Amino acid sequence: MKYHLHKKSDRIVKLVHEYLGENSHEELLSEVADHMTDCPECYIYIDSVKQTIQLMRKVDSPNAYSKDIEHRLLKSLNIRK
Amino acid sequence: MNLEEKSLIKKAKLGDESALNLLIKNHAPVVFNTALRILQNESEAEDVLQETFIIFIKKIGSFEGRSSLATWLYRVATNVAIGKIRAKKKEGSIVELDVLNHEPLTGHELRSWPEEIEKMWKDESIQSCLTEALKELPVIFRTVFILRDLEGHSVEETSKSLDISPSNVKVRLMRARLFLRDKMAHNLHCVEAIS
Repeated sequence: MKYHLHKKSDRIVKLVHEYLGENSHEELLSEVADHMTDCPECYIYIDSVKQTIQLMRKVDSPNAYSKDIEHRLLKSLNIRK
Repeated sequence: MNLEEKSLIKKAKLGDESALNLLIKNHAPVVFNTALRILQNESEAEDVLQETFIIFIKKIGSFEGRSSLATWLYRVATNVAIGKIRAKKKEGSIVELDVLNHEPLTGHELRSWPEEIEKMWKDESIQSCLTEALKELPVIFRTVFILRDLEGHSVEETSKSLDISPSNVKVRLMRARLFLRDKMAHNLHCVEAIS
């Protein structure tokens, strides 16, 4: 099963990313869905892109903001707490 | 922009310090976290936070509310953050674009990722791979990915925040996702060169 997405099928790659975005048109969704039925590589690819985004959301959730930072911010701006 | 925020902005413009205080407190955590995601450095993110609100206070009198305050602050914060990176690395957008002009994984076999991948995010090697991949991603792609995919802004909002066209957002997003996905695939050994 050769990885064909980037080299052979630029149009499909673009469609796939439209498909992963918001405001996808029904026609587009249908075209990508049809393509995925015949193309296991694209199915795997879409799935892995979705998983990458999900994983990234879980891993990259900075929560370092603190009261100390807020205090220093207000102080630097000369604003009373 | 909700009515409460509109009212706070109106009061802040008239010099009401408690309204200004509340606006800053409401938006500061998100501004800081966005800067931290872009810069990957807490001290620099704090600088961006302060610079962003200094600009906000200077310009609040002329803030017309054509975009939401959050969008406006994102735009300022991301520009300040990008400026810091550029000043430090002296890297230009043309160089950055070239970095992603790679041909990812052609001539490789594509395999499904492990079924338990969703549960693997606590795995140190996965976390480190993703964190490093995000750091490696050139800033013009990273900011789009952060605003759109991590913080959930729409294409339209991201385009306004970064002052680029919606189609540019889509192109950068696509390339950022390809880059990150391919990094993960290598890490998971889910690609295999075809001999």
